[in-house]
Amino acid sequence: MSGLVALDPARHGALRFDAAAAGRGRAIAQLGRGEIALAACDMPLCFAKDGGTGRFNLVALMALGGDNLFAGAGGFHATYMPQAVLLGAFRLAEGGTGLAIDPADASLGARGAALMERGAATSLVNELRGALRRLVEDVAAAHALAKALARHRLLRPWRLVLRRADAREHAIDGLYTIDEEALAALDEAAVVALHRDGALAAAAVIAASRHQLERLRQLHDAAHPEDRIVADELPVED
Amino acid sequence: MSANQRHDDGPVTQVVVVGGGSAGWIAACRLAAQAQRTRSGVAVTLVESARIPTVGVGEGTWPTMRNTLAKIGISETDFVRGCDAAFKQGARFAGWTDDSPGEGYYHPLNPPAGATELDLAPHWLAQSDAPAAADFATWVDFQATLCDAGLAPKSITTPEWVGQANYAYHLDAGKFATLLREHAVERLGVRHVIGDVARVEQADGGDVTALVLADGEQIAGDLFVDCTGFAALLIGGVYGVPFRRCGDVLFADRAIALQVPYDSEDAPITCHTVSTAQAAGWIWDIGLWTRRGVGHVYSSAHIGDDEAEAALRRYVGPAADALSARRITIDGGHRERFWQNNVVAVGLSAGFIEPLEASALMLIEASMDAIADRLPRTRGAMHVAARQFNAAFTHHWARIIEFLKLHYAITKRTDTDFWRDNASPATWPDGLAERLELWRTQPPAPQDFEHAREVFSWPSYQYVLHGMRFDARYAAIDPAAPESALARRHLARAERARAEAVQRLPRHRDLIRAVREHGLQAV
Repeated sequence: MSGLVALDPARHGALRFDAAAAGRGRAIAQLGRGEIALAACDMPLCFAKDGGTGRFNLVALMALGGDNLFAGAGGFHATYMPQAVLLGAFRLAEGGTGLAIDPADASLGARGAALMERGAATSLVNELRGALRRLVEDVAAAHALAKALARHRLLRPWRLVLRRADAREHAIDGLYTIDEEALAALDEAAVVALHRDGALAAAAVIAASRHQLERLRQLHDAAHPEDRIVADELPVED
Repeated sequence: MSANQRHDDGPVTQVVVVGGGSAGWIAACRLAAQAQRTRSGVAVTLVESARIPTVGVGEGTWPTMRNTLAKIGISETDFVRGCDAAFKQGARFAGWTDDSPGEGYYHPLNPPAGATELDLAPHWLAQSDAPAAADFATWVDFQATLCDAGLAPKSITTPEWVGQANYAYHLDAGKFATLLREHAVERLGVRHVIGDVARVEQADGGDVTALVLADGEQIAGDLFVDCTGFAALLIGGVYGVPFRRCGDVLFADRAIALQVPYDSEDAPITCHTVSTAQAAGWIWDIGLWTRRGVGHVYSSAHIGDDEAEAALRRYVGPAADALSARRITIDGGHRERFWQNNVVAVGLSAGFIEPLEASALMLIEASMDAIADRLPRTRGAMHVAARQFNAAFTHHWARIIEFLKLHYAITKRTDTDFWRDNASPATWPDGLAERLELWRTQPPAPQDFEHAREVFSWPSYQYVLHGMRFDARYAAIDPAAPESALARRHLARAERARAEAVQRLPRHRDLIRAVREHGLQAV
């Protein structure tokens, strides 16, 4: 996302948006709080720290140390596409069309729905702006959720190791998941407070989604039968 | 059963801390947090005079402070924000070996690479004559490189209390006491009494039974922690435990301090203490978030106060013109006993020494580790605790004095009487003289010390000895020996750690800004 430019009717008159092509090259997607139940149907959900602030972002894993396992030539093969994936080529911007784009993103090109017609933005541009605004709000809600979980010490490192047939190992660090022991040990007041906030249910879904790691492994092996892997969680103390 | 017997056999349930500086509030927090954690039922009261100002000793800590704060239950984020704290990765000693331009060495907080498996000192020494050979600290570890580059020991994504490199803090001591007080009273249930101690009630055997305040209130207790600073109200005032001075070994007896503002809001914050040798002492320079703390420690037998202040102002430059200096007397030494009857002295009431290795707060922490974690359950058991405590801290003080003297003793400077007197073996403690003789042919090792938990362990001695180019000749190294291969592996690993740290770690000020703005996560 380093090559952002303003979406300009003069420069981008022929540019089209192909939603089905979104996500290629993305290993993780940031999620909004409202996406937890939807994304958990396909992907392991966890937390990763923002490099600039250290705060926890809620993310969906879509790869195991390689390409996005859901995004293929025939489209995005999941029951749900995270909004950050769908809208990955766009950012809100001041002035003009109100959007900035990454022209190198796989979803932008000669195929799909038109962004411009007769030198002016189409209604799609308006819809994209609205979706981005909703995503920003939903991501802020996810930050609040993560903050509440962290405040109650309910997050723990989730360390993964990918083992290949030739004994090569690849560790994936920097991910965090729900500490279910800490969750079980919460005092009553904390349980009630988190329940009323909806955080308890969210935590349960996020914790359960860890098992989608096996789905990622299956997708990986199906895509790379010559390079099968075993994905393991490392113990917390390791 | 007499009243004295009842007192002797009774459980320790009331602990009274007297004095409200850093020592008093660390003591109260550690005791109360431990009582809360174990539900021991021990109640903690802190009595503080409204009239006696705190001294504010120790703006530098050791890495032990991370553990102390975690035990107390203060988050690293609250600590950094509340105390204008900065991170400290060790100290750079400039001009201590000789007074040639640019001379200096680091005493980093990281141990040498592979310290649990082997000793790199002989391997370093074997190649130290080579052209462009790295200095000891840089050769055996990467932390000196971070200090030179102004980089932090961790990043904003690193959990609290954890670092890519070992670290301590520089802090505003006044704000630290305030943070501890608020935490003690609001979170840990410490009873805070403001009043002046007018009289001390004692039992027949000499135990303190209660403090009587000027307003007549009685504060009874089973154990009293004397944190009354130089006044030493109980350990000195009540028991008259003698003070053992060390001015014959460590000559510094005065200090002058300045608080120096930064040139700009984005000025770099040095991530280590800078200690620069002077004609009759040395100048400390530490960076906080808001300002630098700079001070001149000196021997009044070797330089006048005005001359010392002029040297400090020259060091600071024009920025010092508008600043007023604070003068401090250093009566270096310690009590002959620290725990007498049911009174234990912690902080300045126990002893004081020049802040060359920032030992003041560390000694408070170490004292409270011994007291809070091993609080005698009964008054009767206190005799054993007192004996153990006195033996341990008499040893610690002796080792600290020796280690500080080491910085002076092996100087090659001969430019002033101060340095010549320091280099005279007649001013060295016997233990130091004996070890220096040993260390000419063998590097400092754990076996050279009596205690398993020395306050300064063998890596610290190695950093100072080799940093100051101590004339050592160790046994020859065989490059083909298995240990040489192990040394090469550890050095290669340290090089990788250096490269990664330099690439990934943020500027020190940027990290503090991020911590203040966003906070550190617990995991």
